[in-house]
Amino acid sequence: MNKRYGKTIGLISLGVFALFFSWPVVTQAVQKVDALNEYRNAKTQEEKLEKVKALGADMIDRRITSLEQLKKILNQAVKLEPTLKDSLITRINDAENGLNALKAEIQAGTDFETVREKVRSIITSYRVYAVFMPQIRGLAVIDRLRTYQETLDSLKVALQAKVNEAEAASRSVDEIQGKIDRATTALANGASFLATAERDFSNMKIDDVAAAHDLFKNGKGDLQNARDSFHQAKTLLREATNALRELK
Amino acid sequence: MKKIIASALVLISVGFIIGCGKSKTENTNQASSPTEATNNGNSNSNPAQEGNNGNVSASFNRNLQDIETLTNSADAVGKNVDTEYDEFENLDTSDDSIEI
Repeated sequence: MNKRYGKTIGLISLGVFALFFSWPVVTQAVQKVDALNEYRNAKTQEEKLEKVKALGADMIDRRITSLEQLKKILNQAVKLEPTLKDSLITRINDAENGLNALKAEIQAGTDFETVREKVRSIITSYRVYAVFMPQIRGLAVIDRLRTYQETLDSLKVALQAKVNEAEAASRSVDEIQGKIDRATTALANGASFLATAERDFSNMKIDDVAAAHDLFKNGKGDLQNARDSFHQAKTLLREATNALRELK
Repeated sequence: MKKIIASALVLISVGFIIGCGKSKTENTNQASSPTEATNNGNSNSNPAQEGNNGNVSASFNRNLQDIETLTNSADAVGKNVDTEYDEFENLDTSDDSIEI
């Protein structure tokens, strides 16, 4: 009996715990659907105006929150070009200022069609989710991959020094050297993919969504290739370390 | 006559014993010279090379602690990359596709 209660209490606790951490996401999703549905279900012109204003305010609040998160991500990035970081942060600040001004205009609006156009421009003039977010999150992955690349380079250099030492002591290191050489090639490939990805993500612009979409697609492919190359380099260096440890 | 023969035998024995002892000392002295002993033992060996080999073997340090640390660091950064990439791959961009 006690065991059964214990299990139930455990499951309830787990549920409460999961809900606690997912609550902000859940509420935001519910708000988004609610505001949109209420606007779509509005009957009279007055009600439509009121609901489209509420929808606009909700959309802007969500975008400001997302832009703040993107700014935080950019500030944490240590391997991106400072000029690129600065220009993106400036663009984010400009977008936030523009959205705040637009919010005030929407709230002050009295004509439904005019207000609706302004609410539509939250999407078309800012492209926070279609361009900004994928662009900056892609650049954040590039930042992490650069740190990964540097760590693997340091590992390779340390391993090479050890292998040279073993070779000078007349040990047979051909197999280990082969792995290090392959890791070097994989690291060079990864660096090349990374450079192309950075170029693609940097060139994404909100005023050309179609081009931005293509750049994103290409950049994503390059990121995937860079990640695979670095993972491959890490596996080879790990194998080389193990072989070095087993060297007679 | 018997006395003379006995004395001669004693002298011969003493001489033999002394002779053997001297020969053993000479051999010991020969062996105590390391160069000669090595040369005698193996005419092709090179003592200097042996010494070098011994030193190089000793200097091959098998401590891979720094490499282990870097490998663990690479593992941790690699996991960060995967987390960041997963978030990037699962971005919800639908908010910019709604019809108003």
